[in-house]
Order: sequence, then C-alpha cells, then structure tokens
Amino acid sequence: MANTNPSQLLPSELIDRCIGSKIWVIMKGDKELVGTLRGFDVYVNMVLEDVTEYEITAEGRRITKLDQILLNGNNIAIVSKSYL
Amino acid sequence: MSGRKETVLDLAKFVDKGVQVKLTGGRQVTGTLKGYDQLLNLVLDEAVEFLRDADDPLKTTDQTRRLGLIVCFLLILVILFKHSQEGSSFIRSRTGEYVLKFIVTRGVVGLQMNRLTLDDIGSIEIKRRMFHFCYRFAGELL
Repeated sequence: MANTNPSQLLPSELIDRCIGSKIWVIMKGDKELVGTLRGFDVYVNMVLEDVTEYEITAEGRRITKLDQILLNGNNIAIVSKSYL
Repeated sequence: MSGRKETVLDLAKFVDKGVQVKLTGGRQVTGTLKGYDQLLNLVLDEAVEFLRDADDPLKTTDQTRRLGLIVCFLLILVILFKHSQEGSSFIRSRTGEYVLKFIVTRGVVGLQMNRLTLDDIGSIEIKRRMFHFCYRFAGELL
C-alpha cells in the first residue's frame, strides 16, 4: 500500500473495508441512509443495496425503502459503519 | 506536480488527538483523529455529533449522538483550540468562539485558524483549493 504513514487510517481505506457490510450515510442536509455498500469511486459516489432512507423532519422521520441506488457523493457528510 | 502530497493543513500532529470539526451544512462533530487525506476528509474514532438547531442549521445544540468510527467529508473548518486571539480581521462563528483570519499579501493567500498560521502555501493547486475553501467557508458564515 502506498501509504506514507502506515499508522494512519485513510478515509478511502476505511470505506473500502465497509464494502459488503451495512453502512450509515449522513448527508449534508437532513437525510440519512442505511444500506449495504456494494462499491464506491474516487468521488465517493456509492452503490448501495437494500437501502432505508430517513428524512428527519420536525414531525419525525419519514422512511423510504429502496432496492438499489447510486448515491451521488457530493452531498455526503459522514459515513459510519456502526449505525443507530 | 510537487503539491501532490501537500495539504492545506498539516494534520499529522493532531493524529490520535481530540479534534472538533465543522462540516459544510453546519454539522459539528468531535472525535479522535485517526487519519486524513489531501482533501481533508477525516477518519474520526468515537465520534459524537452535536445536533443542529432545527431553526438555524448553523447553530448547534447541547444534544449529541454517538456515531462511532466515521469518515467525514467536506470539511470547512478544523477547530483545534478554543480561540485565544483578538483583532477585527477575524471571522467568528455565530457562537463567537472560533476564529478564522484571511491574510492576502502580494497575491498570496494565507489563512490563520486560531493559533495556526498557514502562510507556507506551496503549489497553485493548493492556493486554488485554499481560495475555494475560504470562499465556501466565508459564504457559509457571512
């Protein structure tokens, strides 16, 4: 691995380790998604499967289920493996 | 290009230390810095997010939630200290706690964040990114 500092964990490396497992994606706005990560690219656009989308509103959470999606990485704020 | 490995901020000294970061959109997260890349995407462990005010997304509340090990993107500001500076050319966040100073001399952009002075800016790419960075941040605050 061409990592100059092996004691450090690169962001892309961590996401790579999450491929195949369930991840929690928090968008810049008020949307959050939980789904299985199938792949991602340099822009951190993601392919997710069995997705549950949560839209946090004043009234509560609006839930949408989606089979397979391509998520544009432009608006992703946080990615976590452990979720809620 | 020689600037390939450069970053706007040298975060190496903050690895394994507690940091507080603000993301575009106003999310604010604290955690232990575990890693980063050239674009200032960060890996934070034991991260905690301060939830935002429903009326004003730039304000945070006392409510928190635990996120665990995370990657965060689109960093606009690394808050490493509470500010200890004075001077009118500083930009403060709405809470008045954090500062960011823009220094432009002879076409060279410098950015001072709290006690860190970033006047040693190398490549044009970094300068371009820096301008973009400042612009986005200023746009968010002003």
